[in-house]
Amino acid sequence: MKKKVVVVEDDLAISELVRYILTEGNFDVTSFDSVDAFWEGMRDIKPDIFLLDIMLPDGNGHDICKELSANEATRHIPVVMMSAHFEKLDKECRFAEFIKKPFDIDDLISKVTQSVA
Amino acid sequence: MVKPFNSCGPDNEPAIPKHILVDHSPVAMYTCDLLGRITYYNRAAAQLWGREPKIGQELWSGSWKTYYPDGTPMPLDETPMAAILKNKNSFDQSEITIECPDHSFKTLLVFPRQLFSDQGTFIGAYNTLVDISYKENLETRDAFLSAIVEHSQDPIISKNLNGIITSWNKGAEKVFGYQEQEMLGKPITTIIPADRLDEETFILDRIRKGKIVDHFETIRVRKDGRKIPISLMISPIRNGSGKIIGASKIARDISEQIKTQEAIAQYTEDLETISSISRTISEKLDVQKILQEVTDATTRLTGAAFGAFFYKMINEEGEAYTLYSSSGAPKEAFEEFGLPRNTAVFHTTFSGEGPVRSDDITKDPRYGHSPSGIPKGHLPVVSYLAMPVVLSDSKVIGGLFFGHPLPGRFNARHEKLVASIAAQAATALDNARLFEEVVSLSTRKDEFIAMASHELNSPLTSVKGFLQLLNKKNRDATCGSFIDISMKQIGKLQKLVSDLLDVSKIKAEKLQIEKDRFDCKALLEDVIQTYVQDITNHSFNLKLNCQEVFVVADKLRIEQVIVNLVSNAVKYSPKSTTVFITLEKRATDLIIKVADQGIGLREEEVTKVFGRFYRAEERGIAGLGLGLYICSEIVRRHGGEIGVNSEYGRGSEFYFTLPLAIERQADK
Repeated sequence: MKKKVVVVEDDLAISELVRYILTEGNFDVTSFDSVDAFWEGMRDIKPDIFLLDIMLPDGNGHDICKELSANEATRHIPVVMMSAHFEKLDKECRFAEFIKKPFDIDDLISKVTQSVA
Repeated sequence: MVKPFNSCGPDNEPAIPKHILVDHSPVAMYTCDLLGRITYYNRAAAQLWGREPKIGQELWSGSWKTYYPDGTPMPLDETPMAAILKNKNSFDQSEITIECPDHSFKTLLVFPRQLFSDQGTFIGAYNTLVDISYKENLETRDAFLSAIVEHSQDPIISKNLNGIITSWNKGAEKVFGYQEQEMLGKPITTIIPADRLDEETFILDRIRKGKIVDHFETIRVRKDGRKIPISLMISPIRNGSGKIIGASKIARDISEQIKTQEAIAQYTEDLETISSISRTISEKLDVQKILQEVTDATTRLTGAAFGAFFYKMINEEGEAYTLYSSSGAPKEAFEEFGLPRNTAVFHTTFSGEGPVRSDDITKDPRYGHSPSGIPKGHLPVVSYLAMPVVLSDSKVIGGLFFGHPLPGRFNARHEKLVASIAAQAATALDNARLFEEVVSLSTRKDEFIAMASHELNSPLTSVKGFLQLLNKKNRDATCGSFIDISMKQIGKLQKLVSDLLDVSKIKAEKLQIEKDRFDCKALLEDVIQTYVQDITNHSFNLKLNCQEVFVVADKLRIEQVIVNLVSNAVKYSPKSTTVFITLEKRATDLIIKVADQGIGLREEEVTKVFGRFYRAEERGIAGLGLGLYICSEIVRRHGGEIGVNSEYGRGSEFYFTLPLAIERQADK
């Protein structure tokens, strides 16, 4: 059975690219373009891994990560963070991997695959 | 008739022993024959003349030069001796002045007498000379001294040891207001204030001991009761036998001196205040702080009950608004004061017409009159001082206002002082405004860079990703080479965007350094190895003087520094082929040097290359000028040092140092 990945990324082109790569990599991809849309959509999905962009129009992936880490129901699900620059991330944000943009597509698929394994 | 006497005259009469007495007499005497030839003179005469005239040759007088008492020269044949021989007249006495060969002058009384022989024949004359120079000197001196004392501007008083005044000059009359006849015989205590009577006891005590009282500054009372500051010098007066019989007292009215001293002290204090205020405000670049500082200082200086500074500002949207600070009264009071309403009183100040100073502003026609006097809520201002604050281009940027509930509180000095400070304040405010503009522009520029680099990064990410996908899917010879070129360009673009991002993070103080322990030698080798693959025109000469060099540093950032220095070396040495790289382990740090044989740097460029946006100019080499700036920041954050040695036209050697990791047992 395919692993479910939830991607939060506001840039449409990047979102398309990631969806393509991960689908090729045998993932079931669901993507959201904002913090609100993500929490809205999360009610119906039980993903195996999250891929979060940090800068978002109505918030940031860092805060999403902190909430996921704090929540009993989601804290076991691995998180991969993605940003244009290395950011100082709080300890409350427990993430498996960090991907610096622009990324190498092979690097992306391998980091996500390793994290979910 | 006088009997003649002789000693060595030509007549050769028998010697009279008496002449020995004459020879040695302290009274100067000489004789002449009928023809006026000097026939004899005694020692006293020679001493008086200062010379020894030739017997039988010189005529009438043995003095070198002779003058009338008024100083006109006296011809030799008009001397009293010549006169008495020619005219046979007998002079009782006559006064002449002689000059000796040593140019000293003497005043003489001369007593020429005719001489007759025993037979009663007129045979010549004798003259007796009395030197009265000393007597004259004494008289002159006395006359001079009395004139000096009498006409001195300074009071000169003498008193006896009982403190009774014995003389009182014109200066004393002028300064103390008492006439001489009023004061002679009166006690000196007449002019001493009651609370200072002890001083006289002290002064007389010292005088009795023969001591001088010098520069004694005190107060004395004039006839009109006014007290004046004076400086006294009192000396004992002794009589001929040296006994102290009284005191002379020279006084000096030092009112003017004290006034001048006070004025100088005031002036110095004002200057110091102005300079300290100007120093304080010129150091500040915060408008509100300058306003407060100036308001407080000027309110204090003028002794105003309240002071305020209104400052007209234009914000970014071009709207005018007023900032103000106050001193001595709550801000609300000034709000009630009716912030610069353009009333006639304020108009003068805000139109820059000049300062307004009024002893009672309520009587000023410009003052807004209301039937009940001061409008409700207004501060009780009577004394008023207002000073426009004007920029060098004559633009009025504000005004300083001072008030006091009592009339006549502000004088010309206050006005001058406030004017100086207002001028300083104008300059300081203008600087502060410029500084704020610069800071705001600089902040906006940094924000722009941060936003732009982030915005550029998104399309870059997707383009790079899709290019990679394309490369995997559809690669024939032609497309493959196109894709390779595109990938390479994307790489450059990525580097530029990443530099911009780094700079914006440095400016925002958000550049992260994640330190790990690693071998810097291995890193250097890896970096060069990877880098060499892309470089075709240059070879690398690598010199490493050690096995391993461990550091605790951000590996990616250090890699960034190395890549930057190496690629600069390649970029700026287009005509040479070798880049020299050395790594040296030293006592507490390591140093990596990257040297090229390229175009080098001019001396003035050396200090600038590590600055932001700086680029070696007009050399047709692409770049944003950020690389070295980022490198220096990274090295600095690691506690290292970065620098360059360069010779224009010969090449540059960039170097940086990193502190060594503290050695662990396992590393050895």
